[in-house]
Amino acid sequence: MSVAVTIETIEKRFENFPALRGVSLDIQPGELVALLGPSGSGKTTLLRLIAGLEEADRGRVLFGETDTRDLSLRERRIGFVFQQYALFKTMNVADNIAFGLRSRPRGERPGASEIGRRVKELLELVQLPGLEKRYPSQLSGGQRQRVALARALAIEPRVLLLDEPFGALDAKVRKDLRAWLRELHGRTGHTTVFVTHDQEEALELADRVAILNEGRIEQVGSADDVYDHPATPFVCEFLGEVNKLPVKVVGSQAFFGDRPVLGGLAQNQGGPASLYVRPQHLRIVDETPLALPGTVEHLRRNGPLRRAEVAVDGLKKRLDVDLASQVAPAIGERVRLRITHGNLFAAA
Amino acid sequence: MVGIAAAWAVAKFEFRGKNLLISLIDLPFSVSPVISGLVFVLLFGAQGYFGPWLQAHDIKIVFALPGLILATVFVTFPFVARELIPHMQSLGSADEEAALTLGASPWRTFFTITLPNVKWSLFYGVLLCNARAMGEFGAVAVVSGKIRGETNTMPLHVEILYNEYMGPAAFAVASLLAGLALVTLVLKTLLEWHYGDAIAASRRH
Repeated sequence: MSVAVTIETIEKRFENFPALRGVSLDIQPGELVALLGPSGSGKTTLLRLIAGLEEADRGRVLFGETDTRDLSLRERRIGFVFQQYALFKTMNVADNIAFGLRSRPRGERPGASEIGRRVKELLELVQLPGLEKRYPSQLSGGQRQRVALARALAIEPRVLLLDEPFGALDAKVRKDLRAWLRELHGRTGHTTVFVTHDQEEALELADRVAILNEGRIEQVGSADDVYDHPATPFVCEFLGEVNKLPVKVVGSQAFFGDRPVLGGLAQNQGGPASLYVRPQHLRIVDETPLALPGTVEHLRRNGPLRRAEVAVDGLKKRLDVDLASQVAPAIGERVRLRITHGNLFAAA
Repeated sequence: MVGIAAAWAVAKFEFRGKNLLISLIDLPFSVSPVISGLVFVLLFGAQGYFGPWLQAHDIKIVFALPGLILATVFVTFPFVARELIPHMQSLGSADEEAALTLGASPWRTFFTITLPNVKWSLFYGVLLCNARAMGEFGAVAVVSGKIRGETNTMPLHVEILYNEYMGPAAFAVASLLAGLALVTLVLKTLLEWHYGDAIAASRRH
């Protein structure tokens, strides 16, 4: 049974370091939520708090209507998958998965044959049938990860918590497991929270993404929400690559120096501001009134992406421009760039 | 047992006085065994701090078996603790946390997860302990009172026999002791040979 998780103004300090400074978050039953942030942002601490492995200094966590402070670790019934999996080295795969069932109080403990049946079922669910007798040291990273997941699912958790689930795996396995986990979630419908520092992973996998920075949640929303409408400069810079331009807003136009670069602004707050533009929102154009002149200084290729680095007068950093299907300019060529989309934040 | 408890406390928890506890574990290494024996006599002897109370309850410690055990434990427990602490620290707490989130009780977690994880270090520590206990002289000599057949250990027996000019007997017992030491040595080598990886892992620090 999945439950809703409500996090209410959690505060947590370690020694003198504030790890979480007033975090609130509502998670719907069956939802898949990513906690995304750089290291030290408090995302793992938040996950451990939901699990009950840490205690909050202030605030509380609710499972449905129940305050988790009234629940023991066993009663919380959470499935926690650790970053390094924490499989029990001295037990084989079947014993690892059965551990949670065998740890139940005598009255609720299923019989040996029932446990065997459950283990078999779970191994099939994680697509590792027949590996009961192996030891964790004989498994590959991806297999260990799936055994850890099966072990967590064995206790029929109300909430599934994953700490950097793909952190220790190579890129290829990571991609496969990501798709597989998404599908598994669709099938089992557990309320799931996972921690990651990989924005691509968070955006692809989660129903909603919560972006943390320095112990606070900067923004919560769907992948489209947070990517297309970042609420803060931090979110904008953390989610993918972005160019930053100091501009001045007058009326409905943003000026770089004395040149208008973006028009039709609704949020004309006026005054100095930072304009964040993603590389794919810069287009090489012919003459146009709202364009930024510059010189192509460098061309590079990153997999399917082709990029041009364009130096603009009055800007220290070169602008990254996605070429996509555009005709590649030559190095040294003068070009004009039009900004098709940008996010404005008043200068701090 | 004392060593396991101490190692577990040091490796898995953060608490005030932890450094003090670590120093205390090392204490027997730095204090001469004779002095630690004297300390026990001072504490538990007839004129000691707990002496009157012990007498009132008819408990014999000094010059009796409990005294011997206490003195030996004091001298040997650092071996187990020192062997286990680095190993436990290198393992971290994730396994235990995993067991707890799966609903295991703290006792079950300790016996099914923590102990099996460190069993080779534990054997090794116990072996060292055993070696030290067999050869321990100073602390035991002071505490035991050398009552023959009652509170006598093999090294003490060797000394008594030797002092009584019973050379052959003394040497016989000494050879026996040496034989036991060899057995221990062989065991230790076997252990290292068989489980070298596990032990090496525990000594990475």
